[in-house]
Amino acid sequence: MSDTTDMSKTGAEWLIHALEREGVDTLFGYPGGAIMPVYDALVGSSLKHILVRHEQGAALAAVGYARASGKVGVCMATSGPGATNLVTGIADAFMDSVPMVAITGQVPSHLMGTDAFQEVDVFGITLPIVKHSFIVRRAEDICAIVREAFAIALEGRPGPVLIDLPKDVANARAVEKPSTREAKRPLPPKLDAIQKARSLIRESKRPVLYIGGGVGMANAEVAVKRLFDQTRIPAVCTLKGLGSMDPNDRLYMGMLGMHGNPAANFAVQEADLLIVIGARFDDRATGKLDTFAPRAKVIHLDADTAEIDKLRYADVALLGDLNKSLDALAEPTTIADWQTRCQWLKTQHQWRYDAPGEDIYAPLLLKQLSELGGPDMIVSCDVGQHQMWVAQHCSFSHIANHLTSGGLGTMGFGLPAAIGAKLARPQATVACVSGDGSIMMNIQELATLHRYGIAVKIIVLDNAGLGMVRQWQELFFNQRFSEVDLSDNPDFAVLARAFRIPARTIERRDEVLPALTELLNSEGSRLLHVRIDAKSNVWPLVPPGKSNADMIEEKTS
Amino acid sequence: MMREQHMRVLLRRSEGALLRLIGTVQRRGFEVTDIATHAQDQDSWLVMLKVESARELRLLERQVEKLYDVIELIEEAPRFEHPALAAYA
Ligand SMILES: Cc1ncc(C[n+]2csc(CCOP(=O)(O)OP(=O)(O)O)c2C)c(N)n1
Repeated sequence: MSDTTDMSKTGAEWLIHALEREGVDTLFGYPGGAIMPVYDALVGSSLKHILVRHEQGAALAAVGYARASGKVGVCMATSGPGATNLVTGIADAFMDSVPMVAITGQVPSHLMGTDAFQEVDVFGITLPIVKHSFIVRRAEDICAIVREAFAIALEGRPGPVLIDLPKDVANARAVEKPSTREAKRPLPPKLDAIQKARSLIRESKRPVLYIGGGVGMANAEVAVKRLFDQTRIPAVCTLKGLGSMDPNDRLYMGMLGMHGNPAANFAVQEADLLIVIGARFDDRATGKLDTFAPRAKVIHLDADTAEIDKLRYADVALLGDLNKSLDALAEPTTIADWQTRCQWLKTQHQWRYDAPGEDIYAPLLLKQLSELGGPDMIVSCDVGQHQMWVAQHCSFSHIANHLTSGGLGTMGFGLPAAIGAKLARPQATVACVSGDGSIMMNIQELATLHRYGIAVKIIVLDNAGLGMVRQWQELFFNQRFSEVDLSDNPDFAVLARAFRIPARTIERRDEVLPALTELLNSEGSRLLHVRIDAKSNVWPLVPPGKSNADMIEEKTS
Repeated sequence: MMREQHMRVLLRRSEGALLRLIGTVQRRGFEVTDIATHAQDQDSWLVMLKVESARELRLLERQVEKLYDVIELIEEAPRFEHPALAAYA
């Protein structure tokens, strides 16, 4: 290396430089020994670093940031426990195909493999949950690795990429080796596959559009709407496809699957053709797989070849550019009988909100939240019954407005993801709907809200227990309740106030509307603690291992 | 029904590439019954695998192809024998 080259930067400084060049404005992290050179280089950079209170919060905030904006979410932690604390968030990003770059400090190279203090093989630990990963061995490689990592995170089916950076490499001075790597563009779909798909659609008498989260990732919401408008083929969404369809359209049947709308499930069961768009036949969506849509042929549109035939044989596969494929299929159809049938199914299975009793009825509260907040509100939720109620009773104008941990089902997702979303889209109203179990999994991030003045409207639906697990024990384990009681919960309003977040508790129906209005209209973050009936269940439901045709509704005695 | 199947993979000689390949094979429901790796040159390994599974090899192949360290799958039989994917061969 000649001494005329620029050796002025260390590996850590090149890392920050490379992140700035990627257009990163915000990253989430927590410092420690092995990553100190990077935190040193951060001083004076243009990056806004959000100091969370637990690394899992950093990773999940990066997920929320990415899902709300479509940009790569970035998180950072030190070696050892810092790195292992990121793992759940990385897995969450992997399962939901979220573009993320996670950076971990590592012990110095010469100590790697010696069980050094805070050494953990995070590269090895995360192998099954990353799209790709790197250990940086030479400081001059950093810029090219960062470029590569961002390209990989975004291209094709998005996902998380890990960069493990040993401390000595971060400290070493180096010249930059430039990189010209660009994210690969999707190829156009193949003409003969398009033609086959078109003729399947023409032959079909009972087609259904089965829309998943891939539509959001491929920026294909407009094209899907166009396909729906042109063909008027009845549509269902997966949990992660919610937001792509207008809920009031008479041919939109709602969410399919375990807690979906019966109209959606029955339409799919009766279909003779499924047009599967950015979805992957997840078991929560299909129920017992070999009874799922038994008479349907399948046209499968996906960015990932490995999804084709993975669980269900595809008669036609449309890989590559989703927008182009969708546009190529957008032809009018003549399926009047089927449309009538689907409309009838839809009218037979409207949600009802006239629950008896005095307790606050969570589905109605969520419907009202959604109406008051408007379709552009972002709702981030946790995992459990409340998550399913959000999916059933809130309306979304875009997939990016519904943040839910679909693949991994990560309790603790809601609050950090909401933080990430609010930072990505500061103009949007961001609500976090959580449960009394889930909120405690990342409760420490209330401190992050306060520290940065991030406005998140938190609703804790408190059923004094792990509702979803309790429901399964009630229905499928002979009411043998095991470790689901949380009736000794902390006082959530007092807890929030300890973090300097204003809060109140409600328990009567007449308190709901004023409380929601106050929550949404006030400045800054707030927590609304809502006591609900400990015994309420999510209905309807497909029992585990059963066919979607065997959906059961609430018994009304 | 369990079947023995063969796979040959040309792999970039990068850190973790072998682990990633073998991990993917196992995680996707295939048991490795035989494995040989051979460094072709500075940049690549040839990995020969015998695997056993009730699942179809082509499903594994598509997972393996996605790995960034995989340069190519070396095939005896034509790749995409599946009619829906024939267009992409
Ligand atoms: C980290 C994690 N641990 C355990 C589970 C299993 N689990 C799924 S739902 C649930 C109960 C959630 O309780 P709560 O947050 O109060 O929501 P509710 O179901 O009562 O609405 C549990 C324990 C999980 N999904 N994630």
